[in-house]
Amino acid sequence: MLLAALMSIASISLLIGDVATSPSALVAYLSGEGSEFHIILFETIRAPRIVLAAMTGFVLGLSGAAIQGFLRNPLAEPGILGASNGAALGAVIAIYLGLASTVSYWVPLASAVMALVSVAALMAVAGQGASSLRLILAGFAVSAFAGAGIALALNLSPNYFAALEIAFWLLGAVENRSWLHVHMALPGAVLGCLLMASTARSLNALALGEEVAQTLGLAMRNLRARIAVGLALAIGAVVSVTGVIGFVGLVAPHLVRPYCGHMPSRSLLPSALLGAILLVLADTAVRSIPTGTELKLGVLTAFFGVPLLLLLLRRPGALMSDA
Amino acid sequence: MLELKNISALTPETSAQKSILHDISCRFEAGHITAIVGPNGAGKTTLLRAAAGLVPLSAGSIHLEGCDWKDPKTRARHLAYMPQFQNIAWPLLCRDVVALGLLPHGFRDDGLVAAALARCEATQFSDRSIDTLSGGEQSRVFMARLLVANAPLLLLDEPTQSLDAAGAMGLMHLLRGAADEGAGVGVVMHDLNLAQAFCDHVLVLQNGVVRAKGAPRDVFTPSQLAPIFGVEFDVMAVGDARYLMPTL
Repeated sequence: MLLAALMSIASISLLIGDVATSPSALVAYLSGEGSEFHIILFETIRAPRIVLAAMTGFVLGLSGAAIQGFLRNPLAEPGILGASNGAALGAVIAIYLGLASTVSYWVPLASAVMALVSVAALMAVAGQGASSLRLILAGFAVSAFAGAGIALALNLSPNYFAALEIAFWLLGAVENRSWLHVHMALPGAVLGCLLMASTARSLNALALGEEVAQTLGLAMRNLRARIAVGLALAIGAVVSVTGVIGFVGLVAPHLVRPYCGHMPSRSLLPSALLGAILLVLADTAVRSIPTGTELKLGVLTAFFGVPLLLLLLRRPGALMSDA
Repeated sequence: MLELKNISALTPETSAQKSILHDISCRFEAGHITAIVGPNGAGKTTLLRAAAGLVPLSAGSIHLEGCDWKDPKTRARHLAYMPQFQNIAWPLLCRDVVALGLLPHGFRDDGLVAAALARCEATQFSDRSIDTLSGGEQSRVFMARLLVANAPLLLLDEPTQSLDAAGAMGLMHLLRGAADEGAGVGVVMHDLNLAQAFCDHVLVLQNGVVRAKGAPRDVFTPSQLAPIFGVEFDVMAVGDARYLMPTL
């Protein structure tokens, strides 16, 4: 059902934007009889950003559900282990060094490398066999350090435009993205998602606590590694082309969980699909809201995400088990 | 069934490690309930966790009859463990909680889940969320989770601690039933009377060392217990039963 909703919303989203388009133009394009203008509009402008928004939302929704299941904590979000800020720092360094304008591959490459470096640093700081609590605290430290690096880059940026470019990039967006960006993010996103999806059964066992899960045959070290590397790959991949987009990864799992009996394994795919829907909707809204400068996607998700989260908080038992 | 040979364990801290268990040898026999008793801080929980493979040993070895205890997957199929404080991260449905007990076997069998719930008189909670149940009701569901896979060895850490008299008796009857069907049961307990009423063997720990072991009737004597627990005990006989009462 969520998949059908995503497809319909994505199709409708193709019609919405600065240039008004009729459904008949889309039908004509799909049947191979569209005008050149519409081919360019759909194929090179709107479709890539919609696909990228859907992919980013999918990754954020899946990562959110996986990390919440892993940490047994409904307040966890995909960036909690420092991958988001690490990836952002990588991109910022690339932009700062002026690499962004010459070879567009540099930003995603630097992001992905830094996401992996930040997770490796996290593992080193937390130590082998670290508890979830230790992992969260170490994640905060790594995240804060990457944040400090971003602040430093902004502080030392050679000129006003470089600082502005960094600041805008950090807001998170899918505008002006091409199929190239989709291709760049796809391998990391797929591999990361597969790694996280492979933990489904283990996440169920973890619902009973680490100790009981271990007596059920769960290898914590292996699980921790799969989650951390999967998260770094997937988040690193999408952050590298879209910037940091918040709240989707936090909210999507909460919205689907009551319909999945709260089982972590059953929440993964619905949360991913809902994340994709939310982000495609948000991107459509960004294109439709008439503002002088197009709103950044990250700004909109935060604006809508916060009230949504507060609404969820008001629902008794929605966030935390009283058990 | 499960044999612990001269095992020792240290506190997890990297500096100034202290010995929590020292040179302990014991057996959890099939068909028997073995109670682990002792004052607070004696090392009862650590011993149970060591038997479940949750504590690294600094010396000694553990052997599970007929299989490799060191392999986590094999261990998971042969033993079921219930911690002292069982909390659940999410408000799962009770039948899903029970089904988690089948994870080591890689399949979900709703028939087995229903049977385990019925055995623990918790069928009516099957479709309810675990966080809507009282402590006693939750304990029945957790027992069903423990029993669902018919593991040959059951290890429980103070399962009766927060239960009323009827709940505690009900739980001990369930363990007795499992033992009578052939399971080996190891259970950490504080209630000496419940232990001697239901258990075949007792193991008395103090400061990480076994002070006494054997049949409850032989071990639970006022002269043996007084120096271990630091209080005097009176023995009350009612019919065939005898009860230990700390002297007030």
